[in-house]
Amino acid sequence: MRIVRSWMALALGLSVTQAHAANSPEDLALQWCANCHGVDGNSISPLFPRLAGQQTTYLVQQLQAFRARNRSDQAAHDYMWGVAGTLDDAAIKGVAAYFSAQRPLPNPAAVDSAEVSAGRLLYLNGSPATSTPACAVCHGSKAEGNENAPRLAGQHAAYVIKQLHVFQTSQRPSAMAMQGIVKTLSEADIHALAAYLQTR
Amino acid sequence: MACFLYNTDVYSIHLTWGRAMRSCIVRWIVGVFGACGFLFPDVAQALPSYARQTGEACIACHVSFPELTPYGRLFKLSGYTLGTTKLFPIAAMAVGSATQVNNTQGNGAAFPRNGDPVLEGGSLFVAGKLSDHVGVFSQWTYNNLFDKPQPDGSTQFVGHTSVDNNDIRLVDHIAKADLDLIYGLTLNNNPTVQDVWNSTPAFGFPFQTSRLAGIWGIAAPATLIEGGLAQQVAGLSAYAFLNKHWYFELGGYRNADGAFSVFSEGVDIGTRLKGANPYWRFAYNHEWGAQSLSVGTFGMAARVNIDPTDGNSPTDSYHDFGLDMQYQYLSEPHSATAQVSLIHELTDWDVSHIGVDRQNPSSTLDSFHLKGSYWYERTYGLTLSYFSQRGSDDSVAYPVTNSPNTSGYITELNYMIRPYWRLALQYTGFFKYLGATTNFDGNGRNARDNNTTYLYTWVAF
Repeated sequence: MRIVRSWMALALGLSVTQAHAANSPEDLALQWCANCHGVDGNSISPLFPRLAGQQTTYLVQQLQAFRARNRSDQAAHDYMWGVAGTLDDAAIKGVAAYFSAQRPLPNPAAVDSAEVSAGRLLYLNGSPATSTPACAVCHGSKAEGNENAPRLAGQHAAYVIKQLHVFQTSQRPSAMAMQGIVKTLSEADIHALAAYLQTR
Repeated sequence: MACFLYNTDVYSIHLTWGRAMRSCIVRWIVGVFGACGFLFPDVAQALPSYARQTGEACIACHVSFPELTPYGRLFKLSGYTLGTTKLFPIAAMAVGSATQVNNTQGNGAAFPRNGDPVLEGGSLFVAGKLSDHVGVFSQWTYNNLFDKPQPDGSTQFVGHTSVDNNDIRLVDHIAKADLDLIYGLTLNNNPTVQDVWNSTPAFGFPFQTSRLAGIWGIAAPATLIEGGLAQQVAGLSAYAFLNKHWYFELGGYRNADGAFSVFSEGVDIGTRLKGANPYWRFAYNHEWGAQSLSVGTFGMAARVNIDPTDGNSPTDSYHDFGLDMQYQYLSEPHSATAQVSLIHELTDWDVSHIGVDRQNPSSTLDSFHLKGSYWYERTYGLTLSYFSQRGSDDSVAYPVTNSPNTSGYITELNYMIRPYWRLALQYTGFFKYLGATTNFDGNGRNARDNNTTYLYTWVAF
């Protein structure tokens, strides 16, 4: 009986602390999103994208796409449909604002310097030979992104590679421009760009 | 699926069952899966009730059931409370299998159902979030191979339902920019069932074992904490996970009777704990890139009545001390995991044992497990494991060999037909069994005669 009483006392205590916690978007970000994306949005595992400093517009757009199940790549289906399905518009805005406001940290990796150089050239100048436009035109010279294109700087290379492959399908219908551009990229180009972006 | 069964080389190499048996297994699998599809048309959303609660796929939490990913560990430590509360947090699973022992020595009666396809049974789970701070994992199992000894010495199998693993949690999560603390209480009925690393016994490898092999008496010696108290006890412990690095847990276990008898419902108490018995667990967890590593220690001190029906009878004292380590590399398409554990047990026997079933007043048993798995696309898996139990010489407990020493290996091939449906072929080989490589029982039985091939399918819905 003492055990039962202890439980009841703790339950009561926790329900009181819960009363003022009220699951704000920041709580949600810290208690659920952070499990994969990191408390400050600088995720550790390349399975999960870094969100720190990401453009708010892009985060809102993607969370809405997950919620509406318009974005249907495997990871979106496996992880994000369920999470985003529980968010209302205010929560989406709040979570996006939280991660957008976090400071992106360097994402060190063992890199092939030749690959990084090739990626840098392609990113900044594009490739007239293959009609590949410079990524920097939309994503910014520092890959910081803007209202129309996401931040790519410091993103996990494995995640960038995975998403460029997703753009080869129609699983991210809102990324019309990328679906065209990715057709001009070779597998070596994709790896070079990803290696360069992680070092930004 | 039928093609998989008939065409797989491994299947044809290892097993020699007749066509009738194979088609029986196929019919059984098709039947079970068909029933699942009929009863749970939404099964494509993935694993049972937690998946329905979070909307996430099985692979979010499991490398492959039941091995947890870093996110799965946090989900469990968060008391199963992430996601939305469901009105009916119910899930179920079923296991069908066939087990074949290497050598019956012409005594088929000692190995009932050898090589036969059998429905082992299934479980019902009440598992999910009850409130923002309370979650539950409650498993109830129907055992279709409950062993009922007959007066003539033969075995009759009957169906039997009883409680299985239970873990009820009350938690809170303080998450700030510079502090992340998950803390709470777990009330459970099997020491280590609450643990989130798969290097401790309750959810350690092998994740699935043949019921028939156990009924045939093929089992390596085990320390008390390796299942000896499962569904015999009720335990309450307080835990904290600090900054996703440091894990602390302290608690105690007592006999599951009185108000806690629900934790042993349908199970005979064969190991009765006297009073409160301390349990502890500490671990350090580190994640970098696609990798994670944990190093920890766990254990308990337990006083066990020599007469399980009499709480006032004298006691034996067990001291179990475990060291464990887990490594995971989780990427796409490759994943690899490894676990290792060593449990040292010191037992002080009550004087009534001496000369009856024990030679000396105290004895030790060291139980070692090492396991490595590789998964491709979390669909095709290969697991290799080695185990070894070494203990004190004892001419009374082990009159033939004077020793409990046992060692061997387990290999397992896995194919996930769906994320919630596994087909597996497991082979257990013994180098040494109860103290000897040959003639361990004095009747000419060799360790390798106990090798078993276990083909099973597991489905959760």
